[in-house]
Amino acid sequence: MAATTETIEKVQKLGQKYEAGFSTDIEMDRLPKGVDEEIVRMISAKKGEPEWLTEWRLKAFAMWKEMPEPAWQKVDVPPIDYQDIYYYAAPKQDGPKSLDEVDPKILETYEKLGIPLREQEVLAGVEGAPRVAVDAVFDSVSVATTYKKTLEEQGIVFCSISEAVQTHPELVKKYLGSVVPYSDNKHACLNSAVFTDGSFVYIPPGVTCPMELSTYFRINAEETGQFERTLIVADKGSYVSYLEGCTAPQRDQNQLHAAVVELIALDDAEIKYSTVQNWYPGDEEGRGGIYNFVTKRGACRGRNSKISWTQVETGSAITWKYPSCILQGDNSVGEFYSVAITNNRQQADTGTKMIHIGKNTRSRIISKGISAGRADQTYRGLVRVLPNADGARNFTQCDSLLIGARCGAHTIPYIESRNRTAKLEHEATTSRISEDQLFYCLSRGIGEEEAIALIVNGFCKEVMQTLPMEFAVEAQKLIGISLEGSVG
Amino acid sequence: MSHSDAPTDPFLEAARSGGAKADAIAPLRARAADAYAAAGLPTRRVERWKFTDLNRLRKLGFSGSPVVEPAVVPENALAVEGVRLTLVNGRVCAALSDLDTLPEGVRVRSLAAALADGDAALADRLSVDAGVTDAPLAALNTAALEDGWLIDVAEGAMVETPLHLIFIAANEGAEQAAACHPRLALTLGANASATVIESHVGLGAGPTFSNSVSEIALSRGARLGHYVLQDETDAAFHIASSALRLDESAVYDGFVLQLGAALARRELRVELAGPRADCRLDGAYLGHDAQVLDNTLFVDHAAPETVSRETFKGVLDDKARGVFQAKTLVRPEAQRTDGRQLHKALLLSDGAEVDAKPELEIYADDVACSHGATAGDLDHDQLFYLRARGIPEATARGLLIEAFLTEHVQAVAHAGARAALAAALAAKLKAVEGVGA
Repeated sequence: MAATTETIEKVQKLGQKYEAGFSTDIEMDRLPKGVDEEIVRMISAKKGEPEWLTEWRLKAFAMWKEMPEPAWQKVDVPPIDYQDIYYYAAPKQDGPKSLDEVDPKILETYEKLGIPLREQEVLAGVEGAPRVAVDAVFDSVSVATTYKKTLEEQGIVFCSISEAVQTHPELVKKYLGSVVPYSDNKHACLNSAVFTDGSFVYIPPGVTCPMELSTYFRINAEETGQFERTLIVADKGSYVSYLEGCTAPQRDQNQLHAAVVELIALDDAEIKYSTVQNWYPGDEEGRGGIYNFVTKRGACRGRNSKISWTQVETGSAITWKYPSCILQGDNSVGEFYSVAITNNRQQADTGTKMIHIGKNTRSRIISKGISAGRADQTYRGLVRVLPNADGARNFTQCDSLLIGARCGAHTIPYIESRNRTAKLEHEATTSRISEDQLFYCLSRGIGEEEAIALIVNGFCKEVMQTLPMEFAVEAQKLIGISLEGSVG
Repeated sequence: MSHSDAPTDPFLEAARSGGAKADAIAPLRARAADAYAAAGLPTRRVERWKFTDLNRLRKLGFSGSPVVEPAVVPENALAVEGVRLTLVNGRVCAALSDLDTLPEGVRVRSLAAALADGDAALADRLSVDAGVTDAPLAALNTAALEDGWLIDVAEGAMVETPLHLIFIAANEGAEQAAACHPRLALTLGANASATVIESHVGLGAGPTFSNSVSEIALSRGARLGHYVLQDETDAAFHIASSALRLDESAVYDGFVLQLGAALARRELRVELAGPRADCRLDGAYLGHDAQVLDNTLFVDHAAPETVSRETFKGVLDDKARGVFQAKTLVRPEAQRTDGRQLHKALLLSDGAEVDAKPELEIYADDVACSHGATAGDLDHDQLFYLRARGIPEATARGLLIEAFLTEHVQAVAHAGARAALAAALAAKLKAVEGVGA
């Protein structure tokens, strides 16, 4: 093939590589741009919220106005004009009663993304074929939740958080803000003031959730911020696996996503939380893309409880996110598995915090960072053992891979032990793809980009193995796509 | 800006009056005084001081230091054969310095004498903050310094006899806390080689604050062995800021043993400025009572094929706290860099604490960098092994603690320094842990 044709093809391919980069034309119901007390009240009123919640939002808003922008993270954030963002955008339609009432254009969007919103009977003969209950959030509101009935039979509550405020106010009031208080940080504070929707999950005592629960977030409207709030409560002896996916159309402007996720595991309960984050990362020159400033934290409140975070971060222009575990209950376990890929001009500052409070608490951190192009990536982690955490155990491994000479990879771990019987191990390496591995693949006729995807997938294997099957396939494909154009 | 809720800064006056001195380095002093006044004594709100709290030092209310002329060197200084160069409270003590038996190729001058001579070149030898950005205590040293050593090793000189620098922080009166600001400027010419041993010790029971600064430059192909003991008194505060610059193929081999002081922080900044520069920064510490022992390292790989190796081991008993902060920066031009960090800590009692922050900041892809950190109690399997062979628990624990630290000290390359450091460690282990014969 002539070099020029090849180049043209390559360029075209590059332009297409953010597969979720389309937008959908839907009539939107928006509040005016900007945020003030009036907007906060209007959001609350639109949701018909009880007074305590409106007050809580206003308190958060008052605090947010006073809080300085965080400056400690190793990312370069241009100043954000908070008054130039729509804080509420919803498809113009009153709450659909069933899937059939959902705007077909929205369903189409999710179908394009490969999210099965329509409930389908499990095919006969494919015993145990995975079923996933999905809550889809479109811009600011939850549009559809599937398999509600099957879940209700077991007493599981899986709905949008605005619905939960109406139907289970006592649970929401008890747990909302109990893990991430509104005063936690600037972005969590803003979220507490203006959060529009998100998912709520409650698993009753002793129940093992029969299917994966999933939320799919989509920012569609222009100049819109998405502020969702997720709250998952696993009561005694229950189990739930939860998946979260995100995409946004390709746009030149930056969009803000400031979410808060709170997990609560009581005695003997287990929560597995998996994220594939594929927000629009901006183009090769760093134009556009999502600012992903997320506060995620789980509290292992009960004895023998377990919270496991798995994340595959390939999208967003700037990521700023530290899914953490507070290991309060004796014998509780926290896990963090992460793959973060940054290419072109992406920046990511991500990691975790493990706070050991209870006795015999254990935590495990596996972080794999891949930096390519002109991207900059930081692992920032904290392992803290408090004086009463007898027998606490931590193992941390964070490895970074650099592809190309213009990217950066950094590791900033904080390790603090105040207990003699605690055992902490931390190791980290930084290197590049070895010439030998690459040569081996090339000599067997595997193309360079394919070879890199293969090697990187191997590098991330430990983390990928912890993903639920539905996500693992998508995540593997994403790794290949994210690294396109990083060589040659 | 100093924080409004903090008590008055005890060193602001010393910095200001030092900054106003009209001597050969007056402009430098003035800049340093301004830098200190702007930043003030660091608080834990400053990220680099997150783990080490200077509040106790702040509350002591320091004056200048008395002129003391001890007859002998305190016996806990390292026992090594070498040329002694002694500073007492930051001032040259001629009686305890072997200035007339200097080895060939070594030039030693007192900083006070050079200042009195009005040596104009002096301003080029010293810097405001020893190249450490955001280092108010180094700036305080520059503003307030009185004396110290200027040491130059000539190009190509192979100096066999070690230079033994003895720093004594003396305060026998005990009524008023005494602060001193010792200074060292050391250069090695191209292909020179030398060994420098330092003993930081104390005299008297009064509170002392020793705020030293060292600036060390190794020219192309120079080799320096640098072995340091810090064993000041229980009432001492020890802050040492060192800046090292290594040119092409220079080799630095360093070891720091920290045993004494109420609070000690040794901060080391290494710039690997030339290709194939190679540094080894090792250390060990043993903390007891409420001691705070801080080792903070920063290695800047600024040229290709540079190597850094950092290994620190610490043992903490009672309510002691150990801090290890290490940052390795690899600049884009520093391809084929090899950087390793390792920190291992043993906690022997409830109430002991260790804080580690091993950091990597990497902008070049063809590198092999790693760090490791562990913290924990003595290995139960090893203890069981010893006890199963009839060794009482206390002795078994002692053996394991001794082995953990001694093994590391045995890796010191210079035989004389190795023996002296091992002896200092053994004496301390015996005193605080009852370990050893």
